[in-house]
Amino acid sequence: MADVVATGQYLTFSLGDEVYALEVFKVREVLEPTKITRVPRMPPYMLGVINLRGSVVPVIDLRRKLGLERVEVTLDSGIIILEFEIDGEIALMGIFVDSVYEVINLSKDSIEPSPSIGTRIKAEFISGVGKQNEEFIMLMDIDRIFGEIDESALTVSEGQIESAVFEEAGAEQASADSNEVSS
Amino acid sequence: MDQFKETFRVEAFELLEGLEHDLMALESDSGNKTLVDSIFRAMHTIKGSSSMFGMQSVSRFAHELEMVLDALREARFEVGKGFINVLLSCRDHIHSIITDDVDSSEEADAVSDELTRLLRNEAGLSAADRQASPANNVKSNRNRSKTTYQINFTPSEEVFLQGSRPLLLIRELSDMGEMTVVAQSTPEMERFADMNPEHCHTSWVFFLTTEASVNDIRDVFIFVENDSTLDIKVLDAEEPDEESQMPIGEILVRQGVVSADEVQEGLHEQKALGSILVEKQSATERDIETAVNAQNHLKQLKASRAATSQTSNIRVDARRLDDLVTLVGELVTVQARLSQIAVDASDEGVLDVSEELERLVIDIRENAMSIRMLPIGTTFSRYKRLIRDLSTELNKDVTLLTIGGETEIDKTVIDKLSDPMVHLIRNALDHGIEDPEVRRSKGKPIQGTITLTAEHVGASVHVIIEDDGGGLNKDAIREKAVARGLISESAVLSDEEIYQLIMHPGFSTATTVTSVSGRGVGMDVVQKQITDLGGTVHIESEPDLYTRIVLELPLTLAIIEGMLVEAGEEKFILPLSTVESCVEFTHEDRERKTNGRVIRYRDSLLPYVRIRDTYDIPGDLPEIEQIVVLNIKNQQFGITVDTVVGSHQTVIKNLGQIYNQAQGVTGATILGDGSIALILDPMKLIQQSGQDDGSYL
Repeated sequence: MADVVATGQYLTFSLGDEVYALEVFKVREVLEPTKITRVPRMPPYMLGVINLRGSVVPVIDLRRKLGLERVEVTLDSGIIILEFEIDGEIALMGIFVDSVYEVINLSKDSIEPSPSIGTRIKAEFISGVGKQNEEFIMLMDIDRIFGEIDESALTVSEGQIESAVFEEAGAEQASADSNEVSS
Repeated sequence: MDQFKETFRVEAFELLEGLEHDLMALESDSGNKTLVDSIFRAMHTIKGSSSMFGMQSVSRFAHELEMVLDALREARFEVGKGFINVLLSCRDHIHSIITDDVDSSEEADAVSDELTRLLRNEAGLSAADRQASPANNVKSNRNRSKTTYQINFTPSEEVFLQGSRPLLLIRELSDMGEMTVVAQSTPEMERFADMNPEHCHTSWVFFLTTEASVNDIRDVFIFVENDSTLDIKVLDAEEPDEESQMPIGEILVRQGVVSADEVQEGLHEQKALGSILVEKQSATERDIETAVNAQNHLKQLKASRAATSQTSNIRVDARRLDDLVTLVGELVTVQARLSQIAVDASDEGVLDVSEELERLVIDIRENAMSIRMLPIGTTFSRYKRLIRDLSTELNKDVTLLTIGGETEIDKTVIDKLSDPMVHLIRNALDHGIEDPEVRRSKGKPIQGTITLTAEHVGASVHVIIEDDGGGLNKDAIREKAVARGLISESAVLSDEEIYQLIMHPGFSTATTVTSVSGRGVGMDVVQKQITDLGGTVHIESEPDLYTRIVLELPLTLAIIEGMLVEAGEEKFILPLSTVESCVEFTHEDRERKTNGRVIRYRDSLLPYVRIRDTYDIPGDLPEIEQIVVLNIKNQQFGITVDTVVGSHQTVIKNLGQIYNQAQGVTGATILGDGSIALILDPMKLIQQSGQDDGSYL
């Protein structure tokens, strides 16, 4: 066993001029851009929901989530539908990307740890860097990204509840704090 | 074999649940023979079936209990609280053995023996009573076929003076089985003026269908038999199914009032048989009346049997039901697509088929939904035990009152409701209801009451947990919230807002942590669980009077009747049950308005929100907008949209975790053309819009 070099399959795609990759077992399918129904009052990176053969699947704009500049939808654009687990249930989520390339094999020993600088997106979202045909491929830690979205979803909702109930309270709190500092 | 065993387990658990229920009922109604019988039967069945499935230890244990219960059936001892306690523990013990599925562990047997001993102590039975008398065995093995008797009972005139009360006899008789009572005045009583009011002028005819023998019936009358006329006839010993259609003539013949020939004669004439027989003076009117009553008794018997057999149940795996509902959901979506195509193609033939299909789909949908609906009362009885045990533990005297147990609600909702309900009831018992001394000093009844209410309100179900305890301490909550930095000291909050604070994670006002509650987990969990169900939690309270927790839950989680509306490019669904009417809102109306979000509607002012504004929908306003007038909890308000498309069967699809915070949106549905419409919660939409511009509607 030790002689066999472990390889993993990855789906590559691009955001801007950089190439990223995802573990292929997380990918359910790839779609052409389709009509996205907006869900109002959501952060802009949450594009809305699509109809995937009778299921309602949320789609996020990976560019905006990662803080990259927006680009127009082109013929190359695609939606990658990912499968992941929340509380023991399989959930689907789509990510909107500039273009989808191919499935590649990367041996584990060709993957290097992610550089702490020099990436266009936050380093913590990159789990490593692979190399193919002299080209670097960022391996995206999609779980971490979703984890953050999930978390922000929860905190936003709590924040909203609180702001609903404690609207005035919050303002009072702020002024009370400043008083404390001055005294 | 495993499959059968699973069935055994499911049935055993059901029996045990029924047993628990009966035991608690018996506690408050200790003389109730029906309950004792039902408890005995349950134990008997458990004994039999557990032995069949190799659970010998359960069977042995159940046998011991059965013997004690048999003594109870013979009223050899009185039911006390202690007895019920031990018997409940016995029930729990059986439950745990069956759950663990470990037969004959020494530990379990030791517990069984100990419980048996305790139970015998409570019952005041010595070990020598172990052997049930042979007579009892005969009794319990008695063939349980039922016989219908006609009992003519004419007490002596002096029956009242002798201190006998016929009413008690009748009650005793009616406990024996299904009975129809006919009271007649005795022939001696002719004139009202001559009547001696202290005498009994009534005779009775009873039609009793029972398992008891003639002697059992005679026993009832043992103290009055000497002075009375008592006549017991077997009307029919066969299964009453056939003779329930027995012609009246035959009944009369069997009763010996007329001969078969007379009946035949009567039948040849084309009049009502009864009146003919009276005319012929073969029978008096009284006889006929009695016979008619007999006929009715048998008819009712048959009807009740038919009803019982109609409500017979089939056990279905809940997953299959879920699959069915999912499929129906798909069907509804496909049907919507078909009608869209039919309308677009404007082909008469296709339209016809599509409309017919739509009707069928609606029927199927309603059927599938109703299968999943269960009366919530089934869970209410479960909480009875909880309250009983907790109140003992906490030394409080608490009774449970349930209202609206027949209210039906989706099975999934019921299942998921259990945990939050347990939390809330625990809270009510621990924090709500005061100690007996405190209650006495407040001048309240020592016994606290927890009331569980369920009722339909529009498209939702309200489940209310109310205790008549000390109420929520507003100041304490406030203080604590300030201490925890949740609010500032000078924050102005309404009562409801203060109460809502207790649902904040990590909030608990109980100064001591008990095994029951007070760890600060609870209300926030309740809030989350209810929110996950698409419901909301409201708290009302009055110091020293009550705390009332209102859970507003959706009727179903799968499909609702909705109204499809459009604003700009976007489509939304409003729950149809909340829609009262639709009115036009013209360009001129808009012009006339200067500010304020109200219009005149049926002689009153109607506040409204424009969905385009709330949701920032781009595009120009149309010439004529529509205001959908909604009525929620007797509050009217309007939602302004571009167009109202019409009613729509809405299959609710979850938006998923990341859209949990989408306020005002409860889900999405897929329309006939494949596009998605969001399902709105109008109440939330209004609140949201109110927060936006700082005005409250």
